[in-house]
Amino acid sequence: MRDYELELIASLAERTLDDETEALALVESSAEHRAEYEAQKLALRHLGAIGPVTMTDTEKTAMHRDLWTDLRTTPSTTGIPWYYRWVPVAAGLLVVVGVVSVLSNQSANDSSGERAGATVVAADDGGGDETVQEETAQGDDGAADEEPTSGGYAASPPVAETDEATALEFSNAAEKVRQGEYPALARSALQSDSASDETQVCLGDAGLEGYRELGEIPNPAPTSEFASNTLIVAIPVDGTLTDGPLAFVEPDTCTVVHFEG
Amino acid sequence: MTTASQDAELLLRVLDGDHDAFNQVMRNHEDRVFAVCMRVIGNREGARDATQETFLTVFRKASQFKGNSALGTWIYRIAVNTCYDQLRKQKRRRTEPMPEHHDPADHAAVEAIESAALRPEIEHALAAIPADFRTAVVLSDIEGLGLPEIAEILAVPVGTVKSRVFRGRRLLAGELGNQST
Repeated sequence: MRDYELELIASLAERTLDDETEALALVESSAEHRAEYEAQKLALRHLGAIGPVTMTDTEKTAMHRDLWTDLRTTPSTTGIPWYYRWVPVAAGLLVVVGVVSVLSNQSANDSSGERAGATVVAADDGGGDETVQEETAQGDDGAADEEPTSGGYAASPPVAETDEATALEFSNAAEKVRQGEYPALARSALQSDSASDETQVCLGDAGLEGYRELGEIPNPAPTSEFASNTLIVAIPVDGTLTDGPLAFVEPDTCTVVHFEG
Repeated sequence: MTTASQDAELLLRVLDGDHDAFNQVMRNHEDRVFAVCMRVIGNREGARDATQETFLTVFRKASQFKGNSALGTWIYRIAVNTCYDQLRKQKRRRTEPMPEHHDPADHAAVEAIESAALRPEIEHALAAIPADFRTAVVLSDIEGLGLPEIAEILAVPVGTVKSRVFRGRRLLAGELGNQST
């Protein structure tokens, strides 16, 4: 049965048609259509007889009490910019850097050979970003403990595990996005606005600091019937759509489901 | 039913930390949220949990409300997704009964459950159809929402909503027919 026919029959059962002639003729045209009409009527009759369900006053009072207890005991990130959470960490790092610098300078005055330990550029030298490099006797491994970043955005956020078929669907969707098959996203990519406040927290939670939302696309591969129907498409604030990092983020859980570096 | 401007004002006050404003938001929407959760999840305890979780999310994500839709529509969307999460959890575990002394006995709730039991066939039939179809039927034929609003809540095209509602009814009729035989 075609969608149009189903809609016509359903509307007849709902009694919402101004002119029922065509629908009545369709119902009479075959046993299948008549059966569909009877099914729609049966369902509507039972659904219409369902009484309201409400919480009792006691249930509401308990819910309000439990909700406020939960809010008071659980830290909320509502309205707090993502970078505020890293201020204590940054402060701690500065203290460590300063202490190590003092100790290193003291030991440098005493030693004359190659040293193994941390070399630190102190923050109060007036330079820009502070960097920490570990030099060992075996040589410089060159890498800081944190993931390498460039351009001020996360280069490799945590990505939810998916199977091969789903990953392929996401790759195909990403290709379509890059090819400009979603005009609204392509337009948004040309604008240099940073991510809106409303989604900044979600992108931050997803590990996508320094990214911005271009918009949303239909989820090409829902992993379950309860998965989000859309995905946020995000690129670095100064990035482009055609190349560079691209991420799909599930808006309900703020997790990255697909990432291309 | 609150107007869009009243809801917007309430939400601004919530973002300013006005707890009374949030209590008002809950009072304005908790009945409808609970009704949807009750129909989608199918049991009272799960529906209460989902309702509470919905408003927790509303509070925590208040700053993310874009104002492109009505506040009620946004809250409905959160409620539906919360119900889906609840259903996933229920699939993974059995629900433990509440301790008898957790809260005082609520006789009104017992009466509510018993009155709902007068129409068990439709409740069982609803519970038997897939969640996507069930939600569409609940929002359309029980809550009386229009198709465009449901499309916004479920983040799917209007055509998809129509398909889910009509096919959901067909599945429901099939379940009701099975119960009578």
